[in-house]
Amino acid sequence: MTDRRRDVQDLRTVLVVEDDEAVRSLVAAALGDIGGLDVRSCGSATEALAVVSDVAPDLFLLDVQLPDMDGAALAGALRTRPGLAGTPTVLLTGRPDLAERMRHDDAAIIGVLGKPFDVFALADALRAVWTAWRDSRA
Amino acid sequence: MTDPAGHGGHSGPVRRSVTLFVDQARGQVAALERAVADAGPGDADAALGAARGLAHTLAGAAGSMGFPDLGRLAAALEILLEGASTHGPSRRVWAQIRVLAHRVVGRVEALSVDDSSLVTGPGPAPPPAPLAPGLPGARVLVAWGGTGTVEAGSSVAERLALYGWKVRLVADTTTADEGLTAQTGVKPDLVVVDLDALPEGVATLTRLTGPDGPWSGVPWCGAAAQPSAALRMRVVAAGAAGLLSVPLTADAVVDRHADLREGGHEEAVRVLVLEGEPTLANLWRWILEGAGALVDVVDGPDAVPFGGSDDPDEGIWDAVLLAAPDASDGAATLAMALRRDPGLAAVGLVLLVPSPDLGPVASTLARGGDAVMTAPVEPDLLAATVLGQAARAQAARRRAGREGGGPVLLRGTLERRLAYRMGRARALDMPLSVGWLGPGDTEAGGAVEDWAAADRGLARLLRERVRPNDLLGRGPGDGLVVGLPAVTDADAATLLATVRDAFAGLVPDTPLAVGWAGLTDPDAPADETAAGLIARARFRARA
Repeated sequence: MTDRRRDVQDLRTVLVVEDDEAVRSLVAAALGDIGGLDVRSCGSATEALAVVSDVAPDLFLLDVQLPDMDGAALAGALRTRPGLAGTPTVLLTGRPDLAERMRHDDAAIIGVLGKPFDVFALADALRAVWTAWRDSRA
Repeated sequence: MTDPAGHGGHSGPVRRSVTLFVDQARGQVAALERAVADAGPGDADAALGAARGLAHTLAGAAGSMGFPDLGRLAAALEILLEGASTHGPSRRVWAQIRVLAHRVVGRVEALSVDDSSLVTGPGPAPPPAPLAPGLPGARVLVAWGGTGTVEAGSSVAERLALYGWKVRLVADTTTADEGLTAQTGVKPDLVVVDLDALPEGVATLTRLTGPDGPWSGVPWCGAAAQPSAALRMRVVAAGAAGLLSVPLTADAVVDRHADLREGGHEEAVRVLVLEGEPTLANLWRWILEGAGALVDVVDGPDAVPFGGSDDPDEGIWDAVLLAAPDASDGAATLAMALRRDPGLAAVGLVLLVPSPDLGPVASTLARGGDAVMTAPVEPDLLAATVLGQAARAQAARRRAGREGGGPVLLRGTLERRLAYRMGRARALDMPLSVGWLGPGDTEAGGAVEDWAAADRGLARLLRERVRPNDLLGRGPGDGLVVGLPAVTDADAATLLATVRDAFAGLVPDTPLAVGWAGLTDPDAPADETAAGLIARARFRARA
């Protein structure tokens, strides 16, 4: 685990947007406490848009179905903030069919992770998506 | 879950999340109950939408929180509510919604943080993985303990070697731990341990073949002079592949290994669903695909392609789920018609009826071994029933057309299957060879006495060497025939030479005649039949 973390050390900070409080808490535990990432969690698109410039994350991890905006629209809105135009998005969803369509329409959506997820493997899965994306740009 | 039970010291944040989920879920199901109550049949789009949203939230969260059963149930409910929103809830859909909603509510009310797999850690280890099929020359480890028992073990080992097995015998050991643990540098395909002399072998092999053991996934068998039901239960509960009788014979070990190999041959389960209601069709598909089946859905009997596959090895489906739209006997009559179609004769049938009061046709089907279930159904029960029927159909198909249920196909079955493979080989311009092996002439020119025993040994030898898609069956003149798709004459000759050498060791002083012929031989007629190809192979054996 230590070696792999060093290998992908450029993924450090993740902005998580998930409206379900319990799931949000579990994702934070999976990525932060277990996965060793810096995590900032938001419960709505509105909250995410308000804090994203201060957080300056490396990656957005977004629920697809949020009460105030869908994941794809939120990803686009977040990227309009200064300095975040190239920030990639991963969607976390129980509706992978819907998320794959969003991914097809937006090149900055670099991956889809399904619910339910394995809390002990989520950070590794996210790092794998990040590494593949980073390597594809090299 | 990939984390061992200790959760690496992160149990605090995880437990807090699960606690939050349990509290939150109780509030959600109260709202779900209200929404389902408000959305009567054909009524209240908003209430249906609300119920669907709540089911979606539960489905997304429950599995991640370590309650996968609840997650699957909520996901099934979400599918129904989504379909009901789109197509409008019919009486049947509504009945299914009510049942699933009730189950979801019941499960949530019974939730306890301590029952989450995130809190309790992973469940018991799964049974050992099945063998990879078609690997000739298995590597087996035979552990025979106690002084004075070496001879029994070694004679088995010697005979196993004649079948082409690589055998490591652990003899004269006083404890299973001592004898077996010293062998863990080699990973066997099968382990057989004498439980009379080494009773603690059960615990040792459970450890060695468990998920964290050096032989993870390796099947093992016990052997005992008096294999009681209690001992049999004990070893099977410990993950063993069975219990063999002592005195142990090599033939019994070879047969058990072949059974394991055949049983472990991964065969996809294919299910046809007849359901006219799109919402329920989606639900049945989701349930069965979630259980690992490949699913085709048709909306009525006119869409069923009767007649089955042209491959005699393969039906199109292993099971048919036929959902009756009403209480009339129409669906049961259709089920009976399906049952009588030759192409569907070996298919498992599950009839889903709206009332527990079975009509005469449905009663007849139930007595005949088909499954009749009453809708609305529990998703897990439906999946288990359909997969069980499919497994029965697959097993029946494997046994069909074989001599005594053994590995040797009856002559007619062999020729039909060979003819199909010949057609495919011709169409794909691929080689195909056939070997014939049977009693040779004695030095005196007479017939071999007691060929039956030699035949059994020869069948075992061939079974050890053929691949899963090869054919082994009865040929003319008391011979055995192997059909070898994609194998050239030269390779067939090499294979049969090794069989002849092994046979000479296994059944000494018994002459064996061997011949082979290829589909693309220069002297082969363009329209040669399977029987003709076999006859050419036999003729060469006699030439």
